Amino acid sequence: MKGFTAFFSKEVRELIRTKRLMILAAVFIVVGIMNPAIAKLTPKIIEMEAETFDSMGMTVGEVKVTAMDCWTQFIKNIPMALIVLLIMMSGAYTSEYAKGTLIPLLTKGLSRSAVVLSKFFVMLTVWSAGLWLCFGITYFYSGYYWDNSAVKELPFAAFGWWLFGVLMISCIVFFSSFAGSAGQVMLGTGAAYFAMTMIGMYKKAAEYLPSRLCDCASLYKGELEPSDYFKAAVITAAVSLVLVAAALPLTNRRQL
Amino acid sequence: MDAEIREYLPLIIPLIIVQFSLLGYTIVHILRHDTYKRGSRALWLIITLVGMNFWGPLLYFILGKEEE
Repeated sequence: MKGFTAFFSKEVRELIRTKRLMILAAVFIVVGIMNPAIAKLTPKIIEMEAETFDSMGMTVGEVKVTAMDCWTQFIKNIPMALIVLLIMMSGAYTSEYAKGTLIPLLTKGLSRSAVVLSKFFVMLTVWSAGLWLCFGITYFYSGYYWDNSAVKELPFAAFGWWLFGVLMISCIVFFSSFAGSAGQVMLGTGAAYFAMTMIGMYKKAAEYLPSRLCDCASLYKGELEPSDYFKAAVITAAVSLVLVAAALPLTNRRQL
Repeated sequence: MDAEIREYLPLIIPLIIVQFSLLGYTIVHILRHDTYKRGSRALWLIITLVGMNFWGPLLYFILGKEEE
């Protein structure tokens, strides 16, 4: 436990000193402001393009923006923030293995599990804080300009995305236990996502897949209830747990 | 027009503050360092300025900043 807290604070300090924390905070804040901004500007953009539409034979009526448009932007943009986070964190383990910076600590008695877990928890903390920061900013603006009550199940939809992000972070932890470089880790994580999309084409399986959690649009419109996401949420949480648990023995056996 | 701009101000002001502080910080960081993981000073300055709505600085910090 002592090793865990010590390494955890070392990781946090590293995030601050390598400026990664600052960049990620900026990304989440910008995305949070962008969501309502894009929704707010949509009628303006369409108005400017109205002449082009006219020449194409389409008439554009008055476009009314609601909180729904803002939250649709939220689920469109949050993957971007997640991808930035994953790319930044993909080298968290492998660069330490490659540079051999862990060896002095491990020979002094720090357990490898403490290293794996504390890095995992740092990523988890950053992702949680970032997502809810982004959610809070969008919620504030959306309430300021429109009416948030028009969109259903907002916190649950964000929770779904959060859980999906946790799964992706667990993928990084798992692939880092045997991959040689940050590139390989990203490749593995990307392949895991791709496999999920492929299985998702089989309609019966879609209900059980973690990618179901990203389908917030139906949740917003009230077509689906939070209970419809229960199976996918349980499976996502279980898979994340298994991935992190599997990373521990794999890292223990790893040649450093 | 005045009222219309005022309607957008709560969105635009924080966005400008965040993006420009990131841009300024990135440019200072590029100028203070002589070596980069990839690319040269001129390349990173151009990328940062072209993609100043945070893609440029982001790319620099992910791909260009040297690990210390």
